[in-house]
Amino acid sequence: MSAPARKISAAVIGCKGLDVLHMMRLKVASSLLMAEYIQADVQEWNQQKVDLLVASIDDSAGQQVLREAGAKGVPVLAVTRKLLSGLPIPGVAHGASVRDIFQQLRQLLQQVDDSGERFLPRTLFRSLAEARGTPSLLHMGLVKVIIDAEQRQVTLMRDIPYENCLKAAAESGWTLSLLAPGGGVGQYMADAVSHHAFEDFCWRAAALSAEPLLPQDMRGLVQLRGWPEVTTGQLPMQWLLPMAALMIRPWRPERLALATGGSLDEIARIMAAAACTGLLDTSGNEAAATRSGNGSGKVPGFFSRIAKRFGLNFSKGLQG
Amino acid sequence: MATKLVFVGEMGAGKTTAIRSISDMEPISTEMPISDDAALQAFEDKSHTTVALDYSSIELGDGELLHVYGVPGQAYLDFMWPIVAEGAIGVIVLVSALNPRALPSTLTLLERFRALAPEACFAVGVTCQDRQPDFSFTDFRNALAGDGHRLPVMWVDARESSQVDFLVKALLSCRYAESIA
Repeated sequence: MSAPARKISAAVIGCKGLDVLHMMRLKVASSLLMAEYIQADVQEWNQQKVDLLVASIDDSAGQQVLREAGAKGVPVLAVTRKLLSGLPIPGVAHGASVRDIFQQLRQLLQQVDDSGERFLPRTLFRSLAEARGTPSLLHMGLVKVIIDAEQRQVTLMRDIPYENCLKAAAESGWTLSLLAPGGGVGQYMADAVSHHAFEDFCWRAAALSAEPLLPQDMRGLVQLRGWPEVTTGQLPMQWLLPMAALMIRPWRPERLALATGGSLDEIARIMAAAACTGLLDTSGNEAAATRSGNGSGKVPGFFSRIAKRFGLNFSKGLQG
Repeated sequence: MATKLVFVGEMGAGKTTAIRSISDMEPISTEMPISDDAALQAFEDKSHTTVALDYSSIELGDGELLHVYGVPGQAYLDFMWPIVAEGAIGVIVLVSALNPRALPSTLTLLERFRALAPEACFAVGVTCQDRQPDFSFTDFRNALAGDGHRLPVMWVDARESSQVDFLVKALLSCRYAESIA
């Protein structure tokens, strides 16, 4: 019998002040973390959220980086010429081998992991959640977008199909730079290729993603505040019934899945899309959730035949 | 028995086009040249408008028909509304993004038709997106919700049968959702 497949987690390792030799060794060491089922992305640290920072700390700039990381609560692996035993933080000696660096990375990342969640893949939406509404430039490989959630707009900065961007949103490896509110976005607009509604981007990305865009609490009551602005016909047909039900009253996700014949995973994906676009209402109360409709799910045969004519089957929820 | 599907909206909202795109037969319409200069300017590619009802049907098999009506949304034609609304399974309000009174017009139609057809389900289709890119869909939708109308609202190109078809699917889903809620 084969062992259950272990899920690969993702970590972002920031680096600051490293010379070429240490940078190269850090990258090689990071790639070896795959043996520990950790996919590590090494990025130059510019105050963004990282799981671990590797920094040269011997000069004043390094000391400043150390203070900034401390203030942000980012764990640091120091690269130093000083005695390691005298360091208050983990470190490797200047000139450390790939093996030394790898062992430290592994140990420190696993400590981070033990203290809470596994490193989550840095998808576009996880990165965006850190921006808390601030306009942001996000890129991964060839895909580069500006997202201004407040203006409800997504701008593609590269001439690649919109569909490809939507699919890429669920992949890991996105990096995010915050833009100054107001003028920050404007300076990039000369290179803009196309603009899209933020809701359209989120919901269609959610429809294409195998997992919810962001984790959802599946215990509470949820309702939709409004129907999302999505290009007509681009939402999965099997989402229509749960969405319609969520427009009527608050539901517990499990109950909704049961009533609509859908899966809980599907409901979680809908909830995540709604949460990302501000359309998820979690303030519902039990009284509203037990609104008395006829509750039977029984409809006249004529209605069933109309539904069938439009390609719908309500016998076990909406199967399309 | 509910055997009707009703499209309602003001002139230029796309009722006739929407009905044509999902019907099994060419809609029966009474079209007349537009005589109002202001309307002619506003709807530059439209020389005629429906002055009474559009009617069409969709075959369900075994001779059963879903009757599809298009009803002008102008208040002076409201005497037709109760007749058409009776027995409607669903009402789709179509509104053009070019209509400067899009929101009040839609609110009025929703209120009037909800009163006339309390058993019906409702959806709103906003047309002419390509000609009015500044129309704020979210403001429009939120204003409807703020007025108590929580229902599917979506952009729809009335010329595209797949889009009108999807709007009808959303409407039918709401109808079924009411039965399980």
